[in-house]
Amino acid sequence: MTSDAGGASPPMTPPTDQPGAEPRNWSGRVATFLFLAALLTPPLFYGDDELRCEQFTKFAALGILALSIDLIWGYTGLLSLGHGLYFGLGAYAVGYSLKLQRAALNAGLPFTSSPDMALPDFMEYSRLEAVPEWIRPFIDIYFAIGVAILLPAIVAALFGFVTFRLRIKGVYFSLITQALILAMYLMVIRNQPQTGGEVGMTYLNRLTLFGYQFPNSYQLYYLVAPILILCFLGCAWLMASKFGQILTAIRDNENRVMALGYDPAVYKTIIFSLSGALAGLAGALYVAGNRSIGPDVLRVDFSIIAVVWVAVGGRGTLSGAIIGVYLVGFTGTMINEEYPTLWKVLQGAMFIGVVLFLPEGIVGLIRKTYAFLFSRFGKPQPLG
Amino acid sequence: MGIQSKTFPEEIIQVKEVTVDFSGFKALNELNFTVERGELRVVIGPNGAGKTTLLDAITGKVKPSTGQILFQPNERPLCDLADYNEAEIARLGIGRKFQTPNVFKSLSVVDNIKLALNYPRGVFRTLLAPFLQDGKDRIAEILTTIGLAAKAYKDAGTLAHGEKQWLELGMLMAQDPELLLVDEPVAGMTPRESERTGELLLALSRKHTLLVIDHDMTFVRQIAGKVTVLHEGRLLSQGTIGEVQDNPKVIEVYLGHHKIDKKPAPKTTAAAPSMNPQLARV
Repeated sequence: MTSDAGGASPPMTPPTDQPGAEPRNWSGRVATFLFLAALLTPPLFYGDDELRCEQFTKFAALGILALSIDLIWGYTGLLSLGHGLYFGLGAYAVGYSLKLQRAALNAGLPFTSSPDMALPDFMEYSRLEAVPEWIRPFIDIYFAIGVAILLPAIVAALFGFVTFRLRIKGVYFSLITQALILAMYLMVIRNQPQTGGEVGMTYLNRLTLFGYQFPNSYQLYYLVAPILILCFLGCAWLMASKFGQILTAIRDNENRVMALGYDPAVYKTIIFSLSGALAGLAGALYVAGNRSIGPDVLRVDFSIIAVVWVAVGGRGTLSGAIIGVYLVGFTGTMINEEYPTLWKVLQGAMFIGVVLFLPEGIVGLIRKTYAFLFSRFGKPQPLG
Repeated sequence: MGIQSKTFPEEIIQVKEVTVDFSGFKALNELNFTVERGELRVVIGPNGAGKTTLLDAITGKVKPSTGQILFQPNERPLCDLADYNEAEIARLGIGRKFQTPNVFKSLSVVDNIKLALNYPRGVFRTLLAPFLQDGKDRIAEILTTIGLAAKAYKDAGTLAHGEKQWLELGMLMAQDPELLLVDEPVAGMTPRESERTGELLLALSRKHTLLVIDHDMTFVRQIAGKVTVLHEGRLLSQGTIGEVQDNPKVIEVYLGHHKIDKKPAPKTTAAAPSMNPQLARV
């Protein structure tokens, strides 16, 4: 954002001046490129530390979740406090897959869907006779991944269609998203035989794609991080398009968008559905990295913390969302290892601090500093 | 004037016996009102007369409790606006400039105009837009007309108040609607800005039908052909600016303003019942 003397007297000049050339934002592009390249480096520093690599794999997956929240909150102005729902749908879909695979592996059976397929441990504990019919096809990982992306997209589209048609906005919208995830949470923990209840599913099989089993988190990071980068580039392209501008316009002034003849409900439903799909993908990759899945991702506080990442990094900027996850996540684990009780307090304090002093988050701070330095030492130029 | 026959194609908008009821307060009271194609009509009236509500009713923001509003697009069948929602009414060819500047503050001036340009409003069209180079010359032309070419790539939020109003007029030019509803375009402007705005509106009126609401009599004199006076949701008088000013009923309403003000006139509820951008952003 460049500084500009907007309050100066209006130009009464005769209308002869031509519009200048569109500014090319080179510094922004370089910064983005360096940022994306940096995303590929963490395992290089922690190559033989499986625990650290696993954490970074999870950060990369959560980065996709943060992107999905940024699309709807940062760009479109819809604050979802229940995005864990879509994340959870994706996570449980792949969770089922890897759990069924593990059971089949232990029983020496092939990875195929059948009435007498091997029973995962949590189903055995609750004395199920056989794997419920609707869960069986999940043993096929490609089916599971497809469901992990499509199901959240469909659920989000239905939810968006209803709420946006009814013109539910602002706080009311946020509250409904929260109510929805609370309902989902209760449904999961009360159906222990089918969902694993409070514990969820543990000891998942390692992810195998196209006959290649990812042996450790180091390899897996190089699956998840490039997907994160692709999602980033896709989102960046979408937000720079006219479609993305309409979303920003809806955030700024929805009534005006309507008066221009665009139907905001259609645009909001589509972006909400897309955001749901991204969150589902994030959940799927997260489970592969975490190798267990429990209802904690369906708790309200998980969804709120996900929003905090975006706020800290800088909402309305895609890089901000990812920076927020990596930074908060990494400091979190560092502090947690030393002082486990302190972290929650610090997390709360950090959120309050960001809301009060850094409304545009860390990326906003970087941009302002950059613009300030250049206004001192050179030509001001916006930073991507 | 009574109910006009549908057979007059030159009547672009017909408001027939329209009542808008805000829980007991009749902002519009069986109003009859028409505008002909190509006209530049100014609507005046004291606070609470129902001016903004009239625009809200036409654009579909409020639904009349009784009565009918008909819109006659050029070379297309007559439309009863009750059958359309806000976005659809805008697509039929009715544009609106709100009272306060309503630009998209985090988009650049150029992008504000781009969004307004008269292209299909579907999602796929907006996804393809970067490859189509939509309306580059048209944008340059509009920027020059509204005098904002030098600020083309500034965020609209950084513009001065008057500039935002002009940008909105530029967006209306880009939208190119058949009927243009303009709500108090010179409120808060300096006399010089106000004059420039008048010129812009006159330029717009060459190609469009304009319905302008305003209080400022100097400004009304500058632009108006025909003036309509509203009072308590009804049509009080109509004619040239001279005729209207000499009308004893109009004089009474305007001079006896203090007495009238004591009657219920919750004009704020009529102006923006549902809009709360702060809340929507949370």
